Amino acid sequence: MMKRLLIVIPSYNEETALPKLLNELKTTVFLNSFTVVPLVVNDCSKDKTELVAKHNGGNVLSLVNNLGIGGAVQAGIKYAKRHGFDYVLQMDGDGQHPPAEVNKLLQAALDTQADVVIGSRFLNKQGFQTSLMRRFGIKYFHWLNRLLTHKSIYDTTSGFRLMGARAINLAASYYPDDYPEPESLIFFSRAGLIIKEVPVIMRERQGGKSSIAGFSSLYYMMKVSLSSILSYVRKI
Amino acid sequence: MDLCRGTVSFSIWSEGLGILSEFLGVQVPTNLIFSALIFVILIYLLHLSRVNSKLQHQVTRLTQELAILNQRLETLEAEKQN
Repeated sequence: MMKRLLIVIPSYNEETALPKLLNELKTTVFLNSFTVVPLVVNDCSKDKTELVAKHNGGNVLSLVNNLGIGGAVQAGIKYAKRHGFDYVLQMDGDGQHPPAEVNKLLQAALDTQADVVIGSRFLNKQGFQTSLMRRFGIKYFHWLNRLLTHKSIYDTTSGFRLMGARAINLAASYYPDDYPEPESLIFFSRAGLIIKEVPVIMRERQGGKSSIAGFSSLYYMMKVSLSSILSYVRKI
Repeated sequence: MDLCRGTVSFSIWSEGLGILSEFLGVQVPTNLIFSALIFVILIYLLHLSRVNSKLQHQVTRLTQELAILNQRLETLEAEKQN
């Protein structure tokens, strides 16, 4: 039976990178048991993201308020739930995640029956690697995550992930706001979902700016630590 | 409301404040009023921030619903035109 996959691309001011990404998605050959629909979630961008996405044939969800990455992704997840998609794949709009790598996540989901599959930069050291500061942060989150979930996930901040039906249901009702990647993993693992990690090769961003940079990264770490610990103790 | 009642009753019965502060070990009675008020304000701030998060959550939900409905409307209109 064909499975339906929604590729959610949360985008904030990504007019430069989006056309290339959408065209690449059109030409990519996905595993043939999947029908793939791309969905750009325009998080109230100030540039022509919406126009560019529509022009390149993408479905677009346009948010009237800027919700941040968590809210944007959750909008995509709600869309998927309402339209009966079996899987949601989250992918950055800046071209860091090559569409060709999507198949690796799909294959892992089919093979292992995992509810969440994370595309990881670190399982084998290929492709674009991030800066020293970032690597330290990711190491720290690995430690924190292992402490809280007793699972060893290396790339907890990866925004390249596949969610199955159980994860979609959960995330549609609750999804963290600001920096959802590490926190949602704790949430998913507490709900008893199976989380798997597969190595993927990432590229350098093709345009746009990272949402985390410079001095704010320390603040980011503190904020995420606090919210991770809170999501460890909160009711689900 | 309790705050008003408290301050009014102490302005009528001013020795009461002295007795209360002595009981609580506060040397200057006005300081008792200040610290009590600061405590009340802090609690109120906490309450406001709770209200704020709830509202933010509601705005998020509305924004998402609106986007999904808009998209559906656009698809339906496009289908109708074809």
